[in-house]
Formats: sequence, structure tokens, C-alpha cells
Amino acid sequence: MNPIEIRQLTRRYGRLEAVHELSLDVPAGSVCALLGPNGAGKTTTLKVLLNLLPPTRGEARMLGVDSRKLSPRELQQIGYVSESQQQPDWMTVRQFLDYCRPFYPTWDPALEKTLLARFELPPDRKLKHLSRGMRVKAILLSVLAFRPKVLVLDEPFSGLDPVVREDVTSGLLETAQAGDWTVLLASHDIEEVERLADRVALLDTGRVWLDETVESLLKRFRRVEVDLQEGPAQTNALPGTWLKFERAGNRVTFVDSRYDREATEPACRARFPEAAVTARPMTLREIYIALARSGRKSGEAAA
Amino acid sequence: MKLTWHIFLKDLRQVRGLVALWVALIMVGFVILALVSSVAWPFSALRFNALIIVLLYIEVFVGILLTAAIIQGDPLAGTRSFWITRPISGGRLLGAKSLGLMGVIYLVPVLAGLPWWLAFGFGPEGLMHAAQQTLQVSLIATLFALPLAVLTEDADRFVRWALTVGIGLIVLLVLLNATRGGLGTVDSVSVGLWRTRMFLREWGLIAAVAGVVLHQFLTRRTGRSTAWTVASAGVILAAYLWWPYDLSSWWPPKEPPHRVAAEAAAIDIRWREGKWQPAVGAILRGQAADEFVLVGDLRGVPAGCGVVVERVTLTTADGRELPTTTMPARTAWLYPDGRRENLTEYYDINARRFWLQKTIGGVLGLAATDGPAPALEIALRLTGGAKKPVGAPAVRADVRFALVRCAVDAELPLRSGARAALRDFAVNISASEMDRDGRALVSWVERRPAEGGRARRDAIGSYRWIKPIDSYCLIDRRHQMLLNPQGGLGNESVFNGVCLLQFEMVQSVAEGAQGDKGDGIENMRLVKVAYENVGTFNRMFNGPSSP
Repeated sequence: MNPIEIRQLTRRYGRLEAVHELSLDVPAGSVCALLGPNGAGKTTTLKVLLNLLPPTRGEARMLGVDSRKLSPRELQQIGYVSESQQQPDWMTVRQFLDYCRPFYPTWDPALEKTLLARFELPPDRKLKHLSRGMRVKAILLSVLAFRPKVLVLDEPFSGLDPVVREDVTSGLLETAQAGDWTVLLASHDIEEVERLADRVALLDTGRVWLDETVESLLKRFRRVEVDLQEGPAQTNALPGTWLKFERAGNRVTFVDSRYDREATEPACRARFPEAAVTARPMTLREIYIALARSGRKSGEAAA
Repeated sequence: MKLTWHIFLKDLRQVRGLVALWVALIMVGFVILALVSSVAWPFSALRFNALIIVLLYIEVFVGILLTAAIIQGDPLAGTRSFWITRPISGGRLLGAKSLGLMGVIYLVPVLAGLPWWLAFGFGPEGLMHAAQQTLQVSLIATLFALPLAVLTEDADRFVRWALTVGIGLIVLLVLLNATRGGLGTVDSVSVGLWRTRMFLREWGLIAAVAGVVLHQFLTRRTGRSTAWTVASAGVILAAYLWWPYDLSSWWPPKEPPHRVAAEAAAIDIRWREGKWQPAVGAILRGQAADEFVLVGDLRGVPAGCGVVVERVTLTTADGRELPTTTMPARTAWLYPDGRRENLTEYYDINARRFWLQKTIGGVLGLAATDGPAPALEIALRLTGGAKKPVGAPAVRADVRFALVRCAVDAELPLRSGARAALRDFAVNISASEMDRDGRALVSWVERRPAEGGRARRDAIGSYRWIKPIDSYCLIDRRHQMLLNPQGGLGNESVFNGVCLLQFEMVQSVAEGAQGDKGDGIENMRLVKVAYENVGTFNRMFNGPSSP
């Protein structure tokens, strides 16, 4: 049993279908990032998982329990941080932590103290008087301190400056070292995702069209550059795994989503006989942009 | 329980400002009452009453805000609430919110009032009644605010919807007033049916609000809860306006049925056509062809008892019902000694000890406690352009009436500045003035058991001054005192368990006694009369043999 299982999940808002038959498993101990453009259905999926919204069809399960039946017992092991969630803003940071603490039997006061110092949070300042970054840190602290088994983060880095983002990411990484948890993260911030996630799921128009480990993605995606050196070039009937194919003068570039030196270079030479071919690794951000730009169909083919 | 208490304490901390305002308002009310009960307080009674009413409105308003603030500390609607993703169940949250509402909205006013009531020597029963009265404000606030608070996500939406619903209710009341004579109008139904509808309205409202709140706390399905709210409101309104069955017999009777029936059988009611007698100041209409007078002979009614004629239906010989309207109270009249006099406009204290008035549900006639019983007459006017049928017996009357038993519940001297206590009934005269026209304006703070809700209004309608010349005196035995019935019933408001009444008595100074105001109100007595409805009956009467 995976801590997070989503089966054929559909969620409608009136006529609008925000999520369409989405299926996703997040194995125990992994950090999975949901990536996708605005309106892809990431937040809706997370809200259904947390029982903030009921599914229209299908089901979402957390820790083996249907999300609609999540009880305090499960919620004691689930942490949720969302940019849009209301907080008791009238409380000071200390009052906020004091309020949260009794709900969690696994609350770790030592970790709370450590993170309070690490995040440099002013204990006596009200949440509503905190900057956005400080606020996120306070909420994250209230979630990390009970060492959740499952952590769901919805755009935690949105609107944060680089320093705060670094603090938050470091805090997450440090806490992750101490416990075995499963994280589902929706974010546009791919650099941070790359540091945190070991798995990504790409969403578009409510559908998952890629679900893979980061390691595998980084391994199979390469940016290929071909110097034609005035030789012949055949640019018709290109393989479906070649994305973002561009030609500028004597230079051709594309992203190979199934890079294999033994296969890619011969394929290049077949089309560009006298060309020099070089392939370089890509970042997750580059891969995401290549997939997003190439459109969903070719992206699915590439996947 | 520990976590429920934890959430409750959080709520308390969150709304502490409003709680402070709430407590301050309650305390201000008591301070004003304390000042007013002192003799030297210079406020005019009417101003004071207006102040109390304004304070009551403010209390209701703050109560609504407080209820909303407690509930919306953890909103149930929407998807952004903090608590939903924390290990807090809907049941636990409901427990905490209930604690908050009970503690702050209900317990605080009672605790604040307790010293005041104890200082006045309230017994356990009096304390219960005072608490009941006080909690009516809280109940109104929570019944109004709770459904809106659980169905809206934030304060902005709550305020918007509260205004919409508030304005909607006012429009509904105006429409009902225009089309049916208002929510309190019961001329066309029996008291039993009216009470049934009251019961359905009040308990239906409480049940509907409880249902919505429970559903929303346990499921957070706002759409369904909203639909439930709208449907419940429609059903309650429909039941209130059109519920056809009298279920009042389901409540246990207070009197053995056979005895009541025997008393009812002794009542002889005749009827005849009459002549319209206008109220004082009205244009004399003379003979009216479209009016009937029903005459009730109360000689068979035991002393101290009376009848309330709740409904009279006129039908023609061929069974056709004639549309009629029962006269309003101020146009009722009776003939204590053969003189035609509109006694509801001015009550003649030299007359015998009975009175006639309109109560909730009908026209009341009481048998005298001494001397011959007067006749009870009820005027009916044909409406809708109907014409009086001719021929004998042209018209038949179906009279529905209730037998009531009356008793003087309390009687006490009324003195300026005096405070008297009799059982749980006490009066403080806060001010008394005698103006140039001989009008005595007396206001006082009265503590008395409240029957609660509508029944209380009914009972207030039944309170009456009485001044038999040898037994009681309103102002001075040498003066003929007349009581304005409007003032007699008084402006009434209930504040913090204390019922405030203002009576305006009009003194008609006897000729030759000008300037002789005597010792003012020293000899006045206040009498409280309690009516008890012991049964409802129908009787058929044939009309007179000749028109």
C-alpha cells in the first residue's frame, strides 16, 4: 500500500473539469512533485486528497484511507501547507504553536525549538504581522514539528525571496534526514523541486501525462546540438522522441527524450551525415520547459 | 474533552474583545435599571424605555456578531479553513463551538444578571423566568446568526448575507402585514390552531437551525446545507401561515374535561343584529346594514371565569358562508347598565368589576366577581360586499369560544419610590408625574414570571388595571379615574430578566375638584390577573326570527 494513491480521480466545478481520471501512486519514502501550468489541476488534486473537496468520481486515498473518511487519527500523521490556506492570523507564533501542539501526540518539542531557531521566527509576533516568507516558515514549522508521515505542500515557495526559499528547502531537507516520510509537492519552482523531489508527475488539463523518477528523467533527456558544417540535412520524419527541434543556420538543436548514445548519434548521422553531434545533460527545469513547449501529444510520445 | 476545551479557550481568546463588549452592554443595562429604580432618577420614563429598547437592539446585534465570530473562528464553508487539515473532527469542533456559545452567549448574561435578581429577592422560579427572558436575546441572536455563520466562509460574506436575510425578513413582514394583517394576526383561526402554528414555527425554526448546524459541522457539504436551510424556511413559513390542524389537544388538559364541559354548557349566547357604535372620535355612521351583534349572557359563567370568543362564522340558511371580519378591540362595546358606551376606549371605574378586551385570538368577556354578570357583545361586519340576508332565520352563527379561568395573581400597593415584593412579583416606581391635564405617567420596573415567547405576550395582554372604588384605588378615591387601554397595556420590553412596563393613566378630574390632586398615587394598587385557558368549544346559534 502506498501512502498516497489516486485512482481515476475526476473533479468538476460545475461544467469545468479540473481533474480528469487522474491516477497517481506515491510510494512510501518518496518525494513526488506535481508539475504543470496554472489550471492543470494540481491544487484541486491536493485538495481532494486532504478532503477539502469531495471527488466527483474516482477516489483518492491517504495512508490507506479514502480521503472522504480521513479522521483525526490519519490527520495526526499528515502535514499540509498551502499558500491559500487561512491561518489563525490573530495568534502570535508562540500561541500558534501552543495551539497546534496538543493535537499531535508525535509533536517533537526539540525539533520545534530547533526549527524555530533555524527559521529565525519571532515567537511573540502575530502571524498577520509576519512577512509572507516568515508566515510560510511558521506554518511549515507547525507541520514539521510533529514529524508527519505524509507531507502535502501546495506551492510552498510561491512568492518567496531566494533566501527564504533556501531556508524552507533546507528545513525540509534537514527534517527529511531524520524521518521517513512521503511528500507530495505542487510547485512552479522547479529548481527547488529538483533539490527536493525524487519523482515528478506532469499534469496538464487535469491529466497526468508523465510520472517518473527524477533520476530517470535526467538520465534520458539530453540537449543535442548538431553542427551541420554545410553538409546535407534531412529534417523530415524526425523521431517522436526528439522535442523542440530548431534549426538556426548550420546549427540544429533538439531535446532527445530517449537519449542513448548508441542510438541517438547514429540517428543523427543518418540525417546529418557530416555533422558534429554533441549531447549535454539537462536540468529538470529545461526538461519541463521542453516538454511543456512541445505540447502534450508529443510530450506523451516522449514520455 | 481536553482538546475540545483547548479549542474553546482558543475561541474565547479570539473573541475576547467582543465578549468584553457583550458583558459591558449587559452591565450597562443593569446599571441603568438600578438608576431607574431609584426615585431620584430624572429621566422621563419614555426616554428610559427608548434607551432600554435601543440597548436591547444593540445586544442582539452584538450577539449576532459574537455568534458569527465564534463559529467563523474555524469556518465550515469553503476549502481554506485551517482546522480541516488538522486532526480536529467536525464533532469535536461542534462541541467546542457549543461550549463557546453556551458559555459566552448564554451563560454570561445569566451570571451577570444573577446578583441583580438575587438582590431583588427572586426565588428559584423567578430566577428561572428571569433567565428565560434574558436568554431570549441570546436565542434570537444565535437563531439568526448560526445558519448564516456555518454557511459562509468569512466575515464579509456573513455580513452580506445577514443584511440580505434581514432585509428579506423585513420585506416578508411588511408583505404579511399588508396581506394578512401581520404575523401576530389570528382573528381567523382558533386559539388552539394559532398555538399549534406558534409551536410549529418556534420549534420548527429551532429544529431546522439545529439540523443545518449539525449537517454542516459533520459533513461540510455547504451546498446541501444551504438547500436544507432554504427548504426548511419555506416549510416553516408555510406551516405557520397555512397549517390546518389544531394539535393543542395533544397537550395535557389542565382541567378535568367534564367540569369544563359543564361550565361551558351553562353559557347562554344569544345573538341579534345590531347597530354600529363608532369609537369615540369616529364619524357617526348610524344604522349599518351590514353588521351583526352577538350577545353573550355570562350569567352561567362561574365568577372569575369568562369566555374568549375566538371565531364567529355566519352562514345563510342555504349554508353559504358570509365573509365577516371580527371587530377590533377598540370598537367593542358592552352595556353594563343599559347605557351604550364604548368602554374599551374609556373604562368607567364606577362600573361593575368586569372588562372587555381583545386578547390574542378573540374577544374576551369576563364574569363579574360580584354583582350580576354583564352581557358580552361582539360586533361582526360583513365584508367583501356581502349583503345582509332577509328572512327568518336568515343567518346562523357558529361560535367558537374558549372558557377561561381568571384569578388575581398578585396585588400590591403602588407608591412612588416604593418597592414592594409579593412572591416573585415586585414593582419599583421609577418616576411619576402629574401634568396639567391630570395625566399621570407612571413607569416602573416589574419583575414577574414570564410565560415566555408568545404566551408571555398573551399574558401581558391579559394584565389589566382594575379599580373597583371600594377595593382598589388608582389615584384618589375622590377622583374618577379613567384608564387609557393603550397605555393600560403599556409599552413593554423585557430586559435582562426584568420586565419593564409603562402605564399611562388618564385622570378625569371630577367637576369641582380641580386642583385637588390629593396625595397622587399613594392609594394606587396594582393587580395582576392571570388567565388560564381551560377549554375550547363550538356552539351554533340561529339568528333572530325577524331582522
